[in-house]
Amino acid sequence: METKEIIYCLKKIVKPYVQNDLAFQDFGQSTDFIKDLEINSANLVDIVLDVEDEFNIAIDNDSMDNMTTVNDAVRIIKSKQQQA
Amino acid sequence: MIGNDVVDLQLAAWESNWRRQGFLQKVFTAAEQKYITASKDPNVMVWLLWSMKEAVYKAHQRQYDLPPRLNWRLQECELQQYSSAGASGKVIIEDKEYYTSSEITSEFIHTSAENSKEKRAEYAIFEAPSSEAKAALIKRVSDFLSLEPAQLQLQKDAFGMPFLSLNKHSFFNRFSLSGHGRFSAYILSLINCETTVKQS
Repeated sequence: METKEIIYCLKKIVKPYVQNDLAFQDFGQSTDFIKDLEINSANLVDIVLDVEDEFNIAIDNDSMDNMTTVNDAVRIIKSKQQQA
Repeated sequence: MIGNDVVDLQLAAWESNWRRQGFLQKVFTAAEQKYITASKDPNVMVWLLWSMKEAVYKAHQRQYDLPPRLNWRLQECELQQYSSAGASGKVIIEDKEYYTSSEITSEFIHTSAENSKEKRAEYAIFEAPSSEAKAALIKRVSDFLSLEPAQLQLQKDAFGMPFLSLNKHSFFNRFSLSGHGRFSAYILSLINCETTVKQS
């Protein structure tokens, strides 16, 4: 999957949980789920689960640990898809 | 170091569905999942354990200068006391021990976490936006140090951790702020605080 395509999917996944709509307008690789979008930490669990469902991958605890930006998510999704 | 976390139970019920497939497994260890399934009030148990993890990670983050992480499973909670009004526990993360005290009401759960068994930090909870907890924290610190509240500025470091600065110098960070829904709260420890100020 292309990076662009992954980011497009991520944007759809993240949208319902965003607390800072202004930052969401600039959604891109460097967007930070916590610092920029101010997503509630319990909803970060939902995002991990949604990403697993959408991309049909399993995100282990070590990978999840670092998944705080769009860039991190893209990197993790790509590496899990390659493993599959 | 210290950390805190408040959960508005009404908002949590609205914005999070912990019963969804996979949620509990992502967040809780096998032992913690047992606490939840054995509990008479699993909803309260979920948010109690959650707030313990969040409060402890904030304390741990402060202590070791760490970035925010999605690492709930790294922390292992053990409940030492539990009633419908409160709880205390021990949480281990990366071989470090933290001790927690939680206040439980029908509306919120608030947890204070410290890295020492003698729980010496003080906390306050407000049914108000986080600006109120911040103002109250600044007032408490400035009163204690005989300063004017306006002399203290609340700032955030690169990892998003708040600290207070005086004359543009960081001088106090033994506190934590948390806000969720209708509630906001601070915890702080003023022990040895005067010496810090004299040095700065």
